[in-house]
Amino acid sequence: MKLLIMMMSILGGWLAAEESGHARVELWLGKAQAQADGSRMIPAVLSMHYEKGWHGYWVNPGEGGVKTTLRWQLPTGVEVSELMFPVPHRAMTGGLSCYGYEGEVLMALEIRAQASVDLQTEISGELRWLACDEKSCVPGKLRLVAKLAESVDDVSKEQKILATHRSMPQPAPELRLMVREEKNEVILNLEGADDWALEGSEFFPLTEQALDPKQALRWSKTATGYEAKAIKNEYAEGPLTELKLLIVPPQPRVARWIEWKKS
Amino acid sequence: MEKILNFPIGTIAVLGHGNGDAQQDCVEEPYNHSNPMMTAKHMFTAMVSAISLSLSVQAAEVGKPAPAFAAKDAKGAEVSLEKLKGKVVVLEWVNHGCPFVVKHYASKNMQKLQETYTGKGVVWITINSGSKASGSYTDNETFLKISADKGSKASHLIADESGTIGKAYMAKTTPHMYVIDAAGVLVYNGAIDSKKSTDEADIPTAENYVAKALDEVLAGKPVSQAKTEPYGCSVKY
Repeated sequence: MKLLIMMMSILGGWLAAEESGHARVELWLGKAQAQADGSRMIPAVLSMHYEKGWHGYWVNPGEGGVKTTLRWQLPTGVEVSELMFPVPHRAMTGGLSCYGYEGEVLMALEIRAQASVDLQTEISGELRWLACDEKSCVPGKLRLVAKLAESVDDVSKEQKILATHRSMPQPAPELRLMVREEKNEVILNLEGADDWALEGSEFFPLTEQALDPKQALRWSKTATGYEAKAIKNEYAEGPLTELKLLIVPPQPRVARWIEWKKS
Repeated sequence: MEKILNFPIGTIAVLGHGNGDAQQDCVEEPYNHSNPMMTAKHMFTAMVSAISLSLSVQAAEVGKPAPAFAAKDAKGAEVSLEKLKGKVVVLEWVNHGCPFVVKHYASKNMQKLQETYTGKGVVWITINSGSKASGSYTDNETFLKISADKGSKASHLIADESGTIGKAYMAKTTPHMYVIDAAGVLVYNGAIDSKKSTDEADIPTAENYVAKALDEVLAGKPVSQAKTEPYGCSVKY
């Protein structure tokens, strides 16, 4: 297993695919978009393709896994957003319930460069992930290096970058989530969701150690909205103070997230 | 879930304690008949002890008596939790092919913990519950060799091929750590530390929950953080 690989840019500006930790990794940079304040925003995508039979993890990995992280070393005037993760799959690995991905997963990120920054500037970051199959887990680690000006020259890939960004989960401010606890149960009430097909939607807790990952949420209609009962995560420390949930309606399958914080 | 205990001569026994809501049946698996220590008398004692405790069985729960077990270690010595009463005991689930375990052994973090606390009278039992089918099983000879190569300072190594002990404790990951106080009560169940990663560099800045629990138990204090989420590879039953 290669633990450290320097990724070099090649023709056309996208970064060469490298394999480590049972995944093939590519970083795609889109064209820089001028902003009103003179800065540039560069949409980017981190593509990870797990080998058949292997999987990686979501931002909330569930039991046992570890989320994929990307830590940048950035020059002055450059900022990179957190990795934005697409909707995960729910899976069982060796008796542990986890959230993650098989095959190809495209994660979005935004790079922002102030007006003073030369786009020939190089940025670098360290990508870490964990890939597991039914029998073992292998950590992956790659050094990513890119020049800000090296955008993809393939139209279809440029479109894929933009489509990936459009498909990322968005907040749903029209929904109001309320949470209360009764013994080891968490009672969720949702208002403003009358137009949502909640009964057929999938839910994923973005907040770690809040809800039992083995249980899928089932919603029922009430006089004021929807209600669901969940089992509290056995490792939650004290009463819940916040909860962030990803909602994935059956059609259209555009994920939104809702958040509750104890007042 | 109640179950009548029926111990044939030559079984490894794991006995839970509880009062209803049983999640884990009492498990019986064939034991090594060549064990000269496991006599009919021992088995009768085990039966009587079991029946006197309860016929219902419960998974390991912090604050309750730890599930009793008796097994041979990799050197052939009998290890009985019942007989270790009066001593603080650590149970460590291991799989040396797991990167989370590698993190703590390559850094010597685990060995230092073992050395520090066995030096204070703690009995440290390292258990591999990997089954043969999973590919994570190690026979006693291999288990001893790997552990010696790694510089393990554990008091006992147990190859729990059947997963009997692991399932009684509901051990989920490698590593998964448990601390049992001198009265036989489970006082800690969870992760080795606070940083869920495979990176050795995270160890110095992590809070070591096991060391904290052991320091508190040895000082006669209650364990302040008795349950945490274990992290690591799944135990390959």
